[in-house]
Order: sequence, then structure tokens, then C-alpha cells
Amino acid sequence: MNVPLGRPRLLDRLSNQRLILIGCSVFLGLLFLAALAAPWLAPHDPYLVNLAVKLQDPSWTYPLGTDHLGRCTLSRLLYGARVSLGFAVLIFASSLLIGLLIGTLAGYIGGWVDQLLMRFCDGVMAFPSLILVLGLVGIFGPGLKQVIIALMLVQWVYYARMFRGLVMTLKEKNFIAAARVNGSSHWKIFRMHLLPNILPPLLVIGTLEMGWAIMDISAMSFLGLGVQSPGAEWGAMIHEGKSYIRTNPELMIYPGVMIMLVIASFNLLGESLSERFGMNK
Amino acid sequence: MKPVLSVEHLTIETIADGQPLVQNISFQLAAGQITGLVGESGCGKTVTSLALLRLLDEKVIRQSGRILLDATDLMTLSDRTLRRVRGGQIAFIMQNPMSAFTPVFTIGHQLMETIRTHDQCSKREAKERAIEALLEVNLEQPDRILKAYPFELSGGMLQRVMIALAVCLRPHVLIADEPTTALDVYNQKLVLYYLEKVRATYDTAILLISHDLSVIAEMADHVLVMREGEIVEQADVFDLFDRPQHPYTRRLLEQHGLQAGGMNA
Amino acid sequence: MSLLQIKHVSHRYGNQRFLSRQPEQTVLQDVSLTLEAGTCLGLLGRSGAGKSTLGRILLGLERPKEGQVLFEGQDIYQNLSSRQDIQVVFQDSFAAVNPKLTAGQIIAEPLTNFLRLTPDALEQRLITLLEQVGLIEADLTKYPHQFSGGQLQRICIARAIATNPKLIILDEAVSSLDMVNKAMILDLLRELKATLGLAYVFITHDVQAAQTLSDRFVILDHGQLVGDYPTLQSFTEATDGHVEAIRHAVLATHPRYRTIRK
Repeated sequence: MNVPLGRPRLLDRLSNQRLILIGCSVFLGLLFLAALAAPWLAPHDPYLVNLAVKLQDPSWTYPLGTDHLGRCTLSRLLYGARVSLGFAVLIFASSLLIGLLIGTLAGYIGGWVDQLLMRFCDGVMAFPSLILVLGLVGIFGPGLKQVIIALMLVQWVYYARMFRGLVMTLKEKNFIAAARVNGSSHWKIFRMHLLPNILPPLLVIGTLEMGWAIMDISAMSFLGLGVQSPGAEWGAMIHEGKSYIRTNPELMIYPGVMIMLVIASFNLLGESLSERFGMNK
Repeated sequence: MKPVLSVEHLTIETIADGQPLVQNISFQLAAGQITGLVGESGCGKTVTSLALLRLLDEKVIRQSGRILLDATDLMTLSDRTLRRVRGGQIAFIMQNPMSAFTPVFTIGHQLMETIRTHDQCSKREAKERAIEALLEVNLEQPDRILKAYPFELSGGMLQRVMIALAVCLRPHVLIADEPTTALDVYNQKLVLYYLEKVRATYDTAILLISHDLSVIAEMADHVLVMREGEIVEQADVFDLFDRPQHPYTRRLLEQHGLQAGGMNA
Repeated sequence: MSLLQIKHVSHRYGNQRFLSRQPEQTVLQDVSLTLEAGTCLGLLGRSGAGKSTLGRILLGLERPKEGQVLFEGQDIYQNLSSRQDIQVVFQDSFAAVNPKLTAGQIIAEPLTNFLRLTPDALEQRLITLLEQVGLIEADLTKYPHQFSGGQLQRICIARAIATNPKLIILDEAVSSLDMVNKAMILDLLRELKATLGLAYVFITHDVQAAQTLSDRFVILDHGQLVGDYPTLQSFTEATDGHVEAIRHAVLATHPRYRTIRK
């Protein structure tokens, strides 16, 4: 029986959480759709330079005004979303899969395989992603590709550790032993017993990590290491806009607010998911 | 015999839907006596024990009635005053000893902190008292135990540490909620032995909660049988076993009897 | 030929890390036992005596460092099909089932792994099994958290008997249940033993529970077999140190037999 000891009212928690869950999902969903549909939604070509209309205020033609090269800010935001969100998803998905594979192997098999894989992880973790990016930039010059590769090489370690921990905890539970006694193969155990029980934490971590991935890409671009002009990307837009901070702060504010909203949404989504899955006990 | 703790018309219900968890129960605990509280899981035993210490969340649960400790009604006390009562005058031993201790502090730290919260004394004095208490429950090498972390000790040992803590604070009342359920048979008897020792030495009134009638048979003077939030029968332990009045009591005894046989019948 | 023969089984736990020097712990030492079909062996001893480890070895979950386990005359590590005939019921039913599966899926797992049944035959078998353990068809679609401890243990028992095994390892199967449920589950186990001709290895520290189900008793202490009592009577009448210790540990069933309070 559940004895209620000093917790807030069940009803309040439930309704707040659902609201947030739905709200964030809708916002992010719409944003993803907008990013996908950018070629049709954007009123102008984001790369079209037209110095005659530079630094204009919002108008019917240019809903959010123009930047210092006369390019439509709204169009650049939309195309920027494709880069930020698209590549964030790419980084997230690939590091997740690699981390899942390595972490599960290490956790399930244990022994020297585990030790070997974990020492390898330790080695990779020792590299701060920034240094790695600088290294790659040093070799290949700055560019989005370098940032993506560097982040992919480093992000998976975090997932590997997490999955390893989860699998090791689950492995000790008797229902895994029961599954073996019942004749299930290791693959079946992974598919039917481990994966469904790892999925909830995975979703929660995933949403939080997406926020980080977007942050990383924007940060690198802002530093001038990632997306180079004329590329449209939120971090790069802030980078370009910083020269006009006195006269046209909106050049920095629009992309900045977008980054903030997206990351905040992912975070809130992650938190409400974790509450829903009962991970906050 | 004047009761040490007197519970009068205690009723506990959930605020949200008015569902009664405990309905209008009344009983008394006398000094130096062990009162057994027996019933199936879910009957309200644990809720009752927590209610006596007012540990239930009062935003979710409505608790009414009187809980008289000597002459003071615990229901009227402020949280600050209650904190002095909990531990100092009413001690609590719970079912899962591992969860009663914080895993990141040593046993010694936790024992001494509790002692010093209730009695003003120096660290050295607290340590001496802790060691003395551990020796009273026959835990060898008390120095080592004080330095150990909870996970390094077995369940049986941890229960004895809890009893040692109770010994330190010399409470008037001790509530033991299923203290032996998580232990194997060898440790069970040991823990009960030390509970008895506390009773005999300090004349403590003990409320012993268990679903196991053997524990009740071994220890209790007076028994309360609880079912779905109500006390269906109260009797002296011998009367209860020999002449049960309520059909539920008879059913419990029957199942208990089916279990026995061979060793001790 | 005995159903189960445990021959000179010894087992140790060594250290996993290659950088630490931890001495190996002996968990089982030269344990030999036989068990006949249809009988129940009560395996008693303190926590940590090695009982559960022996259970895991019998289930093929761990390979003993020394010795052999023969089922129907064949080594269980050579004849893997014997796994179908040796099943288990664990102590904590909630930890023994996948919380994401329905009762039906849980019980069906051994059936789909070991037998080739058509979907209809599978459904029928599931219903029959549920009825055998005292549950109803509607329970098939429920999830573990919707059941009580006692009910969930019945589902675990249904899973254990699903493929008509010959031997079931009961690893403290009733130790987490309250008095009422304990009695009911022991009744169920006794009934199934009679109707299905099952053999049990009943691992427990609860002597009274062991006595209601077992035909034979052995005591394990620090990994060694220290007592073997072929009948209930020889067990209750024994006077050696280990049985005395058990007798001392058992609590009174009636206040007149109490030993702690004078």
C-alpha cells in the first residue's frame, strides 16, 4: 500500500505535467515541420544579397526585417532551423546508436570486454569536444562538417556509460534470470526484456541531449568554427549580428531567442517525460 | 496500570475522496508491556504507526482523534515540539533496516547525530554512549561498526543497531513495525531477544506490529487484531490464542496453525 | 535412476577486476545430493550459506567450478534440452517478471521458446494454466503492477509449470508473503506436486514452511552439507547441533511455548 509521506497533491502534479508535455511537443513539432517546409515557407532566398534593402525594420515584404547584407531574416531563421535541428538530430541519433551498442555489450557481457570498452571510453572522454573541433579545424579548415564529426566522435561515450549502467542493473534482476531459465536466447532477452525497460530513460535523456547538441552547433558556429557565411544557422547569425549590437540588436535577438526557446522546450519536455515515467521518485 | 500512550478514536482518511484508512480505533500502551498489532498486509498497521508519530502527509491525509503521551495530546503539538518527541520519547524501528539509514554517512555519524539532537552532550560523550548501547545488543567490535557504512552490515545487524539507538535515548515508547519480516529465522529470534531486553531494562512500552502470529505469540502481552482499518478484537495474548472471539481472528489462527507442526505443536 | 544427482559440486567467487587482489570466496564445498522424481527436498540454512547459489547452479545460470549436475543421468551442460524440465519460482515476484509485459506474455515465454504451439493452442494452454493456479482468464491482459504479491507469485508458478517440467527450484518462494498468502501458496504448491508429479528443491530459511512441503531435509552451512534427514520424523527428532540451532530459532506457535519472555 502506498503510504503518502510529505508529497504534493497528486492531482496538481498530473495536470501541470501533461500541459507541459503537450505544449512542448506541439511547439517542437511545428518547428520541425517549419524547418522541413522551409523551401516553401520562406518568403525569400536566404542567401540573396541585396545591399539596397539592408538593415530594414519588419515590413510586409520582410516580416522580420533584413540583416546587414539585405537578406531576409525570417528566411534565414527558417533555413537555420534546418541546420540546427537537422544536424542535432543526426548527431543525437548516431551517438545514441553507437552508445547503445557499446554500452549494452559492455554491461551485458561484463568481464574483460566491459573493462576494455570502458577504458576506451575513458580515453575518448578525456578529449573536450572543443579541442577536438579545433584540431579538426586546424587540419581541414573551419566548416560545419568538422563540427558534426567532432561532436559525433565524442557524444556517444556519455550514452555508452548510461546504457551500461542501466543494463548492469537490469541484468541482476531475477526476471532476466527467469528469461534464461525459460529458454530465451540472449538476443530475445535484449529485444524483449532489456530494450523496453531502457527505453523510458533513453527518451528522457534524448530530449535533454538534443538541447545540448543544438547548443554545441550554435556555439561552434558563433565562435566562427562551424557554419561559415553565407550559411544560415542561428549561431552563425548571432556571430554576424554582433557587429551591429548597438544599432540593430534584433539581428542577435531573433536567433538567440529561437535557440533559447528550442532548448528550453526540449528540457521541459525531458523533465515532464521523466516525471511521467516515474523517474523522479 | 497507567497507560503511557493512549490512542482515542483515531481515524485516518484520504482528503481527496474521504476513503477511510483507519476507522475509529482506540487502544493503550502500558509501561513495560508489549502490545502486539497483527493483521494482513494493507490492513492499516503501518499507517497507524506512522500516525502515532504524525509522520503522515497532512495535505493528503486527514487524521482525527487523540493521541495522549502521558498527559499531552500529540495532535495539538507543533512540528518543532514533535521533533523532540520523535526519537526522544517515542522511538521507531522499521521493517527495512537498510532504508532507515542514510547510505552516505557512517553508522557512527548517524547514531551520534541523533543522540546529540536529543540530549545536549559532547561528541566524545555521544560516542561513548553509542558504544555502550552497541555492546548492550551484543554487537562486537563497536568501534568498527561506528566506522562502517550501512551497506556493510547485514539486515540483522542493522536492526540491532536501531535497537541500540533506542536504548541510547531511553524512550518511553518503542514502535517496532515488522522488525523481523526482512530477516531470516536465526536473526529474527535475536532481534526479538534484544527488544525484550530493552523492555525489561527500561520498562519501555512497546507496540510490536507483525503479520506473523508467531512473533505475537513469542512477545506480546496484549494483542490488537486489525482488519481493513478497524480493530476487530483486543485481548490478552493467552485469551486470544485459546478463546478467539471474532471470526477473522479465528481464520488467522487457523492459517497460522496449518503452518505449524513438527517442531513445536 | 534418480531424477537429479549433484556430484561433488564446489563453487567459488573470484574477483572481476584485474587490478585488485581479493581472495576468492568459497561458496559451496563438495556438495553431493540426490533427488527422486516427485519428491520435495527442503534445503535449509542461514542466509549466505550457499543455498541460492546451489539453486542457480541447478538452473544452469552458473557453472560450478568443480563437480557435476546430472539430470536424468545426463550432465545439464551437455544435454541442454533438460533446461525445459527444470524451472524456477523466485522470492520476489515483482522482480521476477518484466514489468512491461502482460501476464499472458510472461507465462507464454517458456511456451514459445520450448514448444511449437499454434496461436489457438497457446491461448488454450494459457487459460488452463491460469485456472490451475487459481486465477481467471481476464488476468491474462493485466500488467504486473495490477496484481498483489500473492497473485503475481501465482503467475510465476503458472510460468514455471507451463512446459510440464519435472523439477521446480523454489528459491525462497514464499518468504516475501504474509501469513495468509504464504499458506495459500504452499497449499497450491502441494496440490500441484500431487497432480503433476513434480519434484521440488525448496530453498528456504523458514523451517515451518519447509516442513509443510518437504519429504526430505538437508542443511547447508557455510557451503557445506551438514545434515541429511530422509524423513520428516528423522528431522524433527534429530538432536545434532544444527537441528538444535534451527529448533532454537523457530518461534513459538502458542504463547505457552514462548522462550524469549519469561
